Amino acid sequence: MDTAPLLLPLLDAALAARGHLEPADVEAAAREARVPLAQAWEAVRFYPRYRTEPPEKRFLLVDDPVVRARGFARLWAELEDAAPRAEAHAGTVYSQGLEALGPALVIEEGTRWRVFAPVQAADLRALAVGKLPPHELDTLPAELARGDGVLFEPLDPLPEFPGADALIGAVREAGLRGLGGALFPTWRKLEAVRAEAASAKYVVVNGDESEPGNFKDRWLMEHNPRPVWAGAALAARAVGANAIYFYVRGEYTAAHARVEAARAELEASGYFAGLATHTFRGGGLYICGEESALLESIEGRRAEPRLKPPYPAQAGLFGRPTLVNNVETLAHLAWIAAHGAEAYRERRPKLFSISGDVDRPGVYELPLGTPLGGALKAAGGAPEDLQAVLMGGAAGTFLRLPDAAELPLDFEAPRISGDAIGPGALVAFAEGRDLWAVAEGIAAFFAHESCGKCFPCSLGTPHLHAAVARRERGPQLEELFLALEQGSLCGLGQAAPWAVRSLIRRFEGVRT
Amino acid sequence: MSKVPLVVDGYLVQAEPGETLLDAARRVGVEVPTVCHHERTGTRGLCRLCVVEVEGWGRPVPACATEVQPDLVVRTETEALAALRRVVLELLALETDLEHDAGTRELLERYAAHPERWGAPLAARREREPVQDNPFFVRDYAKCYTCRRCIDACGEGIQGVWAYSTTGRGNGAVPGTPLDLPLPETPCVFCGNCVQVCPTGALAPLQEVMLAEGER
Repeated sequence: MDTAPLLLPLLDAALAARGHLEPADVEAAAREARVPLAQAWEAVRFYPRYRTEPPEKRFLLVDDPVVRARGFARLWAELEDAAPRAEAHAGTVYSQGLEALGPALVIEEGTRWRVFAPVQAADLRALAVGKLPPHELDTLPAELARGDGVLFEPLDPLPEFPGADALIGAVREAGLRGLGGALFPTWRKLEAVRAEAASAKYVVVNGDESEPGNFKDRWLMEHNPRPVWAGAALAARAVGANAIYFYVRGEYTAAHARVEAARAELEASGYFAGLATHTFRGGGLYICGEESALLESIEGRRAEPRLKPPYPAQAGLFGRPTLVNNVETLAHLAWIAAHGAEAYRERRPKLFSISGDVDRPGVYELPLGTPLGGALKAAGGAPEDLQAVLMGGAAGTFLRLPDAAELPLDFEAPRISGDAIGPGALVAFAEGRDLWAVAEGIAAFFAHESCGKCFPCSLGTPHLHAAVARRERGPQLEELFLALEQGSLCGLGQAAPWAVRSLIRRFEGVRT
Repeated sequence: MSKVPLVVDGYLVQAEPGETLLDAARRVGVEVPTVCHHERTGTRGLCRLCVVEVEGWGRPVPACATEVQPDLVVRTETEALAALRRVVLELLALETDLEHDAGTRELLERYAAHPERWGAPLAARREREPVQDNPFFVRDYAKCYTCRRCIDACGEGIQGVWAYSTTGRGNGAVPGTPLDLPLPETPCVFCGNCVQVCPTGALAPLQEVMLAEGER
């Protein structure tokens, strides 16, 4: 199957040509990709961008934890009022990695997305008379990376491959873990794929950063993609892979272009000798970031998590052993290859996406172990004036401030209290912000993003949202938490109750 | 190949290699609830009602999709598992018309389920109109909880014609047809496998439906 062209790029080409998909487009794509029409139709009816009707003009308010805490309802009312007068539909779209810049608005016309941030209520009112908001964004501003950071710098020259034993040994000694949120030791994944005997193996770069509150991978893809590709190439050589797929979140057009430009440049320079490299436009859904769902999506199916085992290391892309690593993880891997494990351990760098009620929201490179309060101060926040931080993202937890100010932001320390740094999002909330409104937004997000494969998640997340909207607490809600966390097939459903549960336990004094 | 010894609810089981925990449980008469799993279609791991606890493992695992290993200690009925199953069954019954699904209704009783405690249905499932586009069977998706047996049976599982597509996401996911075509315009050969494996009566032979209506 891996010799036929991939389905999603074929559908994308038809979509770009016409603005929507006609039955003949889907039939042609299925034929060319050599998949049953039934499968191509599943993809069309799963991924939101594959419209089968000519698209209408839409104004989409970006719905993320920061705007939920800051009068989402008022902005929404303005937009709902203004949109029809501009002959557009009002809608929302979940987090676009703009938490540090919002509130944000997307204007969708045909296949074109234009992003505006920040927008004020007055800007939304002005839409009614055909006036566009003043600040349009293609990429995150480069300056959003605040202060110094080795990961913000170009890695020049790119490291040579030191041999599999040396590279994996250095990664192990450096203590690198998966920085997409799971924090799994990277060397073990490398060893597992390397140990597989197969004629074809793959490396997949997970650039589907869709976890609300996180935008560090987006920044890297837009402003420093070369070290990520270098890390992927080194990892590919270490595990004996022949090809790399770089999966970029579907909505991130500029990131895709810059990742592709870096790929072309490195290819021309000979850095990828012996490796096939591809930049892949993601499906545009949160679930695409789940590693096995991501693989399904490259293969042209609904992005639904697979049952594990087998793990991708044994049977991944096209059934072959596959190393799936996050964008930031691979940038670290390249840095370790260039500078050695010892230099890395002295720094223990980690990117944090800091947003909300701080003076200088942005991407910060801080040493692991930095206390939470110190991280917030680095971003111009005052922990003593804050009530809470949402750590990790939607699949994260609320921590109470100033109580948690001393918590070391490290791999293990937060686990003691059932928390985790996840991908490194810190969303700060001042006194007076409505944390329940934030939790309600998170619950709505999970219900919207549930893929529909397993029953606890597809049935449970809408009822979780309804319960949070009613500000419900109590034993029945705890049963729903249990069913989601213990019953769901993948991390999406399992993590869906975490934020609201932490809110109830830490801010209401309710214990079960 | 030698047998695989393990313990299920206190019983010692000598399982065959490659069997699932569900098979092993059945060997000693332990009936783990499941509504999606089907041997012939290969469907498994979706309903999550069959999740069981294995000593030393983290989360419960689906018995239908987990292979036996030597010396596992498996518990299929605990308070936590019962609570989990009750919630899933309640939401299932709240959202789906289970009139013709005696198996699931039995499970609702077994786990003392009270669907009404979750309030009103949130999925639009119950409002779906029956589709009658062929002379052989009706597709009444108000009764369907998207276990996907029919889709698997039609595709990889049995028939290999791919006349069904899963459409939609989350609680809106439902079986459909390629390009939303009427079944006679799809590769469907009316083999009847999908009707055979449907656990809910969502797919029902037209004859039976007409007879049942006649009796009323």
